[in-house]
Amino acid sequence: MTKKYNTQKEKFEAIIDSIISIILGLVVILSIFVFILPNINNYFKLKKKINEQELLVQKLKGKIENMNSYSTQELDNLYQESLKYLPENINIGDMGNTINQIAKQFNLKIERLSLAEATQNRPIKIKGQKKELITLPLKSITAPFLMTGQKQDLLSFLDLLTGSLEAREFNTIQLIETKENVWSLRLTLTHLYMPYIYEIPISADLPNINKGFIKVLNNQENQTQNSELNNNENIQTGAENTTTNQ
Amino acid sequence: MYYKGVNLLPTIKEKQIKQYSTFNKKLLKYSLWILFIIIINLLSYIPVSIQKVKLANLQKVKKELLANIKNQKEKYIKYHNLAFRINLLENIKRSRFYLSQLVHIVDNTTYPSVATQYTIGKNGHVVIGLKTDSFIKASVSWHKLLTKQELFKTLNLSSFSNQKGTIPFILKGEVNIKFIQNSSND
Repeated sequence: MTKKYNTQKEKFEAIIDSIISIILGLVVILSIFVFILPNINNYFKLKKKINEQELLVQKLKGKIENMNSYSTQELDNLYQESLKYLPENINIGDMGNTINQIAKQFNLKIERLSLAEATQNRPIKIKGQKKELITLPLKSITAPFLMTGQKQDLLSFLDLLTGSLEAREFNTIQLIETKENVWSLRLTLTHLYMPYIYEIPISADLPNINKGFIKVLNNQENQTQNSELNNNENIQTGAENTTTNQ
Repeated sequence: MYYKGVNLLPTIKEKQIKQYSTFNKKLLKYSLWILFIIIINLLSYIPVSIQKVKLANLQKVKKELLANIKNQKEKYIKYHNLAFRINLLENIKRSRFYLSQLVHIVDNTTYPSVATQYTIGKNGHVVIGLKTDSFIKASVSWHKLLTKQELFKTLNLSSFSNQKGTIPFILKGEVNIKFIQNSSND
């Protein structure tokens, strides 16, 4: 009787043992799926978010640092400077005069110049990481023209247009010898301009001022001033010569 | 002196001792398992909570920086109006090239032919018109231009004719705009 009872007890203990082992196994598996895996997942998601936020904070810090390196007065002055190259508006008559003056400077003859009053809207979309941040209201006026002259003069004229910082674009440039030593230049000049923007969203993804290019802008300004001074000196010298001759 | 005592405790059989130690061993094993599960769960949660604190700190810093910008909104608008213009001017300058660079290279390469036309498009499509006095010279000029592989991506003979001893011929192809831009910037 005791022996039978003992055998039954051993069997019962073995069953209980197995059940506990199974339960523990299940708890381990459950804890892997309910806690450990979601935590690992969460960890990597958080890590990605932290990296994004770190980058954003870094960009914002850079933006503030860059912005605070200029005083409001300096920004105003630089903006006025930039208007010489990319104005807020273009007077079509002034544009014609400019081309005419440069052409005269190189002894070129303007055969055809059409200035279209119609402006083109060429908005530029600035995108951030996911969405569009702002659309820049860029506009342009196109001026197809044809002029004739010496090959070297036409190339110098083109180099002057290309070398200046003014916001001009050229489509197809065609230089053809029409007669002996007479060349014609046909091209479509597009002059860009952009009105002032009053509403700008606060975002770290908007472009910063490239300080290197500000130097280029200042150099260009110095060059222009020097050439204007030289021109004035030449005019004065010319006037003195005329007076002496008289 | 020797005292003879009476054993009040029941005698334990060896089997019972074995059973008792087995029970203890099992209890220890199960406790260790449970402890292990708890530790693993805690360990998996610690890095997550550290990252959460880090993220909260970063978001706080971001909020402060944005508030700083909002306080200087007028300056921010002025700054970006200038930044947009500077970037645009920079892009335009970078995309420009001097036609004189191309003319210079062509004129120095095409001897004994003489160039009569240079056409270049924004996309790099190019047409070069030349004239000479013999087909062989025309062929030599074309092949000389073809040696300028860094400048011309393709350059094909488009047409040629014989007009009273003069051989005008036209080459069409594509130039490497970046090459002219680089040599222009140099």
